[in-house]
Amino acid sequence: MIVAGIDSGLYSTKVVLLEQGRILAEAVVPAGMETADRAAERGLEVAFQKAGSSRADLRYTVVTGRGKSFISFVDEAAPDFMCLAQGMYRILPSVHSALDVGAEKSLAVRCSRGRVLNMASNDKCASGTGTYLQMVSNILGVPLEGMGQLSLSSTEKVEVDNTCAVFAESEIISLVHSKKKPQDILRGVYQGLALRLHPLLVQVGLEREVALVGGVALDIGVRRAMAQLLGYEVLVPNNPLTVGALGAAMIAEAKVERTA
Amino acid sequence: MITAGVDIGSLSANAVILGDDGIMAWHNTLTGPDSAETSWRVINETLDRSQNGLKLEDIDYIVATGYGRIVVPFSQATITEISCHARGNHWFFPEVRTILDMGGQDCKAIRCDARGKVTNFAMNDKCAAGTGRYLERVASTLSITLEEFGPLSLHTVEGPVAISDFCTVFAQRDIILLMRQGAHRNDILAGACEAIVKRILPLLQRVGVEQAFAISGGVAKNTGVVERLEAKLGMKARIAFDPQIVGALGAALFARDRALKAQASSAPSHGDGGSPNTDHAQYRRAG
Repeated sequence: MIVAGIDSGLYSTKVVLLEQGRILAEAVVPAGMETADRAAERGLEVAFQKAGSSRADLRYTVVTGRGKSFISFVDEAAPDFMCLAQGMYRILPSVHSALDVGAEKSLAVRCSRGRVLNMASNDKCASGTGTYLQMVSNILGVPLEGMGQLSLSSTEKVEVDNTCAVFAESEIISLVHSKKKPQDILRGVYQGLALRLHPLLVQVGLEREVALVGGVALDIGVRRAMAQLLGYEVLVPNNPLTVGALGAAMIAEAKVERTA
Repeated sequence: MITAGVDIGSLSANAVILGDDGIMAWHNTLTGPDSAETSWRVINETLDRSQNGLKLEDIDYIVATGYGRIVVPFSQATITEISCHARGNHWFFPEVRTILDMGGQDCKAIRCDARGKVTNFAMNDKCAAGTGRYLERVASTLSITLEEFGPLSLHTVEGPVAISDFCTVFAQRDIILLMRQGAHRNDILAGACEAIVKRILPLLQRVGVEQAFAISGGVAKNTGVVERLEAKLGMKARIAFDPQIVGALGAALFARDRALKAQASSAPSHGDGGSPNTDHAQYRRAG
């Protein structure tokens, strides 16, 4: 028996397949100009291909993420904070604070054994989300994947103070005009982002160990800025993108077990 | 006596030349990357528009205002745009007590007294949503000009559709998603006007809206925003014939005060604020 969790995001759709509690396959497919429905369908296809299993064995599917209400073929939709808490319990059970930074939403949860104790989120202002980094990447002409690494070679402190992504864009352009180096601007960008993410963690109750997940967790620049702000390293799971999808799959599994 | 005000905003640069009988010339242009260069351009173009071939040295006193006011090379003084907008609106409409100045990158609600002096203000310059920048981004996302914005937004097909009033970036995302779902452009524009009005109202409420009410700045040219704001407030707005020059006019009025004061006390020991002759020499050097 196989269950699936789907996390439908703005830039990518994440799928995790579970079989008898074991992770059978994970898939991350970039979202193109297609509907959330079709992207989810494609994600499932890729995951089953990886697993070498048949779609006929799929018993139950739970979906989460921004596109969750647009996907018709699934059995159930679950809120992202529940999926995050569940996923955390599986991959980092001893860590009770998690910060999930995606393309258009930042979500902090305090959780214990898969239960949500407290949560806080921002999906209203782009400056505290991955969208901001995407904008910075476009302005500086540095690919998103290389920005974090480049910021590590910064030698001069540059502040990017604007709390609005649109105003920060103008600010970055003037910094470029005033001959500031991209690596120094980037470090300023990451420090600013960390300052805007930190209050979410404080709001849910900060614990000594913090996990950073979601697409932005792949960025070493954010990880370093967060660590500097917190005074200790943040923990990043091997595949930070699929934690929510994993949680969704765990919810699916629990549902099937209950009804069995 | 002839004075001038120069208002260097984030998106537009404006200048007014004021004589004894009122406004002699005015002009607005786009702000370029170099604010000092922009200020030369706007003052020279304004001088060119004056009826009697005025030259910079004919102007007795110049005050600069706006975001780029500190880099105007030929001005004798700088005054904040808040004071200048209050003063300028008061000149056009002496009955006005509440002013909304909506520029390219900030929005200010201003209260003034019977003499046009600022008594209170509230400002948003931290977030692009609720400023002209928001409308600019919406317009560019929908490939229309700012001039078309207002009229189109008043001709909705199925009524306004909701887009983010909280974040310009997310509003752009909302627009792209809505277009993909087949929403009509004019309905989205109407939604953007409603979104910006939602951001303006709390600012106005913070200072208190009192009869009469004026709007200045570039956004005052957007009839879609103005009409919806008027409907919400239940009162008509006073708007100058060119709402973008109000700040520059206020600056020119302050320049007039200072020039008169300098004339009254015309002592060469007045320092850099004083002697008109020294200032004239300075113009020629800088020009």
